[in-house]
Amino acid sequence: MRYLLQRLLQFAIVFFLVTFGVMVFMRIGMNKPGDPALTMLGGTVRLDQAEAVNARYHLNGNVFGQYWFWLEKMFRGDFGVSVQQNTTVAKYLSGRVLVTIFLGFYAVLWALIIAIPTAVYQAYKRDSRFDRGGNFLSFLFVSLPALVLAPFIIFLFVVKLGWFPRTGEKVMPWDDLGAHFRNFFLPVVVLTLPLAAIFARLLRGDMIQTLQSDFITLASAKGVPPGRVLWTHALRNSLFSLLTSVGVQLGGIVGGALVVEQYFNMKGMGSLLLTSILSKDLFVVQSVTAIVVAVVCVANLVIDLLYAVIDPRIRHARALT
Amino acid sequence: MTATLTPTPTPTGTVVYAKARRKVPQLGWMFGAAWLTVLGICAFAANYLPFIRSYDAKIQVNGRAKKYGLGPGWTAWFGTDNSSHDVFARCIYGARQTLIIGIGATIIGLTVGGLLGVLAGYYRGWADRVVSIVVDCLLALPPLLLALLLIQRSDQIKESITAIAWLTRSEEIMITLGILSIAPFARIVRAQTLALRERDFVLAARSVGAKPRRVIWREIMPNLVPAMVTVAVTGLGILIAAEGTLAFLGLGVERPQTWGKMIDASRDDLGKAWWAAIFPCLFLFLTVLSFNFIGDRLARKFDIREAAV
Amino acid sequence: MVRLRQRSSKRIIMAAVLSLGLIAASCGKKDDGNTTNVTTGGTEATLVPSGDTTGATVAAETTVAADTSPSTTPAPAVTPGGEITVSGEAEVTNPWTPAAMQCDSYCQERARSFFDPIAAIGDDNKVHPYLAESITPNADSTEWTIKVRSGISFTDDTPVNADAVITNIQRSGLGLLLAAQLVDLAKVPTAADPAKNEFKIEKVDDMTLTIFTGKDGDPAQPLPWPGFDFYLTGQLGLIASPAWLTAVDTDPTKATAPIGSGPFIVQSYAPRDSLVVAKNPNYWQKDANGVQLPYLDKITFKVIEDSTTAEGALRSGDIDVFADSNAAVIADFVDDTDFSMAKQEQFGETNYLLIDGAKPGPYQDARVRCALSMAVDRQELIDLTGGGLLKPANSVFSPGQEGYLEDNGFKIDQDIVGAKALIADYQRDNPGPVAITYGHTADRTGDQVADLLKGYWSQIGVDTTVETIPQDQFITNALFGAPNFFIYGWRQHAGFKVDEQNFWWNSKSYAPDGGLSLNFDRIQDPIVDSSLATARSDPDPAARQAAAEAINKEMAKQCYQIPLSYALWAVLSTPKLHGIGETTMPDGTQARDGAGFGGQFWVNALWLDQG
Repeated sequence: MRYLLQRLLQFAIVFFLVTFGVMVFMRIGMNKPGDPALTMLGGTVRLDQAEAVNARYHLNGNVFGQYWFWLEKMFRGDFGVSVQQNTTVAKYLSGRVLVTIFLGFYAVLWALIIAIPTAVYQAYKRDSRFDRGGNFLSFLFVSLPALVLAPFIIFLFVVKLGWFPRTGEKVMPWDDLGAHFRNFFLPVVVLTLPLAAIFARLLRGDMIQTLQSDFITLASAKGVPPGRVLWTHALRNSLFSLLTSVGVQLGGIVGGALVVEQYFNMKGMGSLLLTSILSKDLFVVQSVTAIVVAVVCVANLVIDLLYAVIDPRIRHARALT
Repeated sequence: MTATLTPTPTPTGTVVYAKARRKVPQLGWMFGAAWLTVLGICAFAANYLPFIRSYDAKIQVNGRAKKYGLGPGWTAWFGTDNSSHDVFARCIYGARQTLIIGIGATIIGLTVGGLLGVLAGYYRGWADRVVSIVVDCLLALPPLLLALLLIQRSDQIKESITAIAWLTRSEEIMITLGILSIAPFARIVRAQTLALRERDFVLAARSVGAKPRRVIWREIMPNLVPAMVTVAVTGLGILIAAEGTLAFLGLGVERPQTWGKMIDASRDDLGKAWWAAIFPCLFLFLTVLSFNFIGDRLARKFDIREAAV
Repeated sequence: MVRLRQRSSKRIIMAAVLSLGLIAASCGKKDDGNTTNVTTGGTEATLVPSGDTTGATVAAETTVAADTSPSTTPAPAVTPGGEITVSGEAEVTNPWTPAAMQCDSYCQERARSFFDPIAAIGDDNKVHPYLAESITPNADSTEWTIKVRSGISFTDDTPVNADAVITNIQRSGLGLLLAAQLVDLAKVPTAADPAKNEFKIEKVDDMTLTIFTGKDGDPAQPLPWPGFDFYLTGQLGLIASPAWLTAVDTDPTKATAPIGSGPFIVQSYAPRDSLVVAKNPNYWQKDANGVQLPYLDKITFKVIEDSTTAEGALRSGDIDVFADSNAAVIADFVDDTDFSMAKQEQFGETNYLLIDGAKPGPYQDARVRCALSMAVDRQELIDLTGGGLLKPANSVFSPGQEGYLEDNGFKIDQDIVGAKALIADYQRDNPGPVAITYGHTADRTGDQVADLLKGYWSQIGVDTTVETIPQDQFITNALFGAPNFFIYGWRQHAGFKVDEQNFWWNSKSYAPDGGLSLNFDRIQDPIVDSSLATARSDPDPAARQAAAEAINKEMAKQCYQIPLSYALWAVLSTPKLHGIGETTMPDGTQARDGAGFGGQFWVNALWLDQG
């Protein structure tokens, strides 16, 4: 419990520091009279107009006042407005967040579905042909960023075979399940493969280590069937690095999906962030990064809890450091 | 990107297996070393090597510059791009730029991250807390997002802080990628230092009253080198891929173009001229792969396992 | 397209561009170079009732080749219903209030689906009343009387009348750019606040109003302005519901749900993503056979920033139609009978290099500018970046435009020797190496052009630093003469009459670096100024034509800009979509697609093969 509180506290500190840092960072250089609204709104806006916006959104106080104004609204569920797009951030996001969630969810899910059996079997049949083949493939895919993988996949499946549409439509599963999968398939493949390779490599390493430990030998000696030893005892005790990595990759999905979004013209969170940072749409950048940071922090916290569920020893071990 | 260090498992299994296991990675790392050597020599000596055209040279077809005029062949090994330039030459000039950025970023990350890691690991307590919060903050933002923020704002930052106004685009990217790599480096070095400071020789040095600075420099630092080199090599692969991604997104260096930019420029013409995008893809892929192979080899050699970089 | 960086929330009405769209090349655009696309239409007064004869001179050969789908020739029976997906290259608009929109071609195209314009340009290149019943100038074109069509309502059921039009024009005139264009409209203090000015517009009756001109805004000096009506065909002429405009004042987020009297009603809008409009069942127009317009039930406007992606999307059926200016993509469709193409080759923008003539150093010297121009191999540039389709440009006057000349004295061919001689001559007066900086937005064609230009200029010993300018700063930099604005890849100056370009080249809109200067080139040339004045007010069309040609020749001589090629637009569509270029205006004339803005097309009369 104490450990949990400690983690919570740390995440809170990180959350505030990062969101505050992003806010300050976005405002660097905005010190002309009328800023930040003047910069945000652009060249030909008149000073009095900019000042009106500054006043409206409390952009002219000191940074802490500005931070508080934004933070307090944020916690009440008001993510602010996109001053440039004349829409609320929540509305701006709503059309896009699902794309990123689906991409991320499918990618992680499929990566795990591919990686876990492969890695377990690799570790079990260590140094077999399968293991070496798997190792080689995972090496290849770890070295294949989406940037390089996507053109090949598009060339093959879209240009040559024509099996999938060129641009991914945001069809939701509840509207048309078939179209949903057809549109999301290729982007997800591009995201999944490198992810699966990373997961498989990690899990294989941990599994090999676990398989050498005494309790596995003991379990086998006691006559527990090998399948059971492998899939419950050993796997369960080998999940730490994998889980940590899943937590880390979740945040990376927002960024990683950006390249995929560019290739398939899917408008998700990544491209929204790209344009907002570029056009200095302050509230959008602040609120979206805050959401991303919160998601990453919560994911890590959940994974920490999962550790404890999987292995009580972790609680004590971690509490010490 | 996190990395944890654990001792490599003691090899079990039969001797035959152990031998078989060695074979593949060895081929891999030899390939990696060979590729990087050749690439490095070509890249840095490009101006003197007769078989590499100059960056702006146009290859004319029937006296005219032609978009994707030549496919791979003897005249232009990798064909010509949409501006009739030699794809091979541009891949090489791109390699130079990419390698410089990657190495520069690694040095920045290693220096800052290494320092933070050693301090955190050696002094523990408050130093450790502060470093771990800095690291957590850097890791809380997805790397690409952090990079976007840093690069997109770099112009404003340069305007505000005139002391760094001389930074060129490639240096900005180098620093950005360097910042990205601080957190993983710091984590690994911290973990290593934690382990090292409890080792007998360090304890011995401390017990005879050696000052912390001396202990760190004389006893700990030298023993950190293998881990740092290993992580740096693997990290280089990742940073080069990251640089490619940034260039792809239009945040790259203007001249010479790097691979990411070349891929972006001709990725939609794969049907017409596959060579213009595929060769830079291949260069990027092989280079990242080589760094991974070598990193893996070093990790085995020095008993370092890095998880999920 | 040029995006003017202003946006509005509420009364931050900024410079929207009349129908002069400043369109930044940017916005993920990839096309030929870069861009700014400015247009204001301006034709001569030829309005319905009073046959002002001056209109006759509109550019001679004016037909835009509109090869629409072959099936339309025998006019098959129109089948109403169905929905389509349209894509456009970039989103440069923010709020949809006519005053604050920063409208490029795609924005105009979409805006016309829910707003009706006061007037529009027909395929005879004349201005025809649209929402207005008539637009009539007085004898010397100093007063313009607009009679609004009666019996029309906005989709919020408020009436379209003189008050609504006046409200819209007054509000739109507050935008900085629009105000700069309309300097010669008379201004008077407002009733509410004598410190503020508004246009002098008189309401004649419920449906009629009169707009007064005045030199530099002075009501005491009415200025003949025979081409004023052209401005009513652009952004200034888009009429929104005043009730909605007031609502936006209090709640800026309402700006994303515009209300007009147009053929469609906005259903949803996601910035930089999609706009969905549905048929307005009570639209006031019917086609010649009495069938209710519009034919389509629903249109989804998407944003696909990359032309090649859009090409793929059209081929795979993801979208039904898109307008494009990427010549390489257009080239792919030239011999493709599976898709229909309607080209817009005249009155369009010119791709050129915009030079800040106020920057100290080589930029101020005509010898250097001309040398830079002569070093360029235009045909090669077009072959490599424009699919070989474009025509080399000798000026920013595109074919068809008033003032265009086959031979204006400009050296269009590459001449390395001549260019070197000019540079050497310059260096005699200014010893030392010649170094310049070229800026462009980060799009693929822009990168390629920059790379090639640097190559050309290195051949004449000029060292070029290439900079990528974030697209959101591109136009602002030019507008304010930012420290890093030297030479930009640009696209601008579509239109019919040279009067539409008045404020872009007039020394009145010049400001030294740091100040807002719509005169992007920082031209201060007495010949240009006096010719522009003639082109605006001279009652004799021949004199206006001569003035336009004089401007062309003077700019060619001074190399104020380095023209590269004339932009080409094409509307590409699936064959089952009909009616592109076939929208008929209320007075029976065919509307011209692409007027004022390359690439835009009317959506009122589009229809789909059913079944």
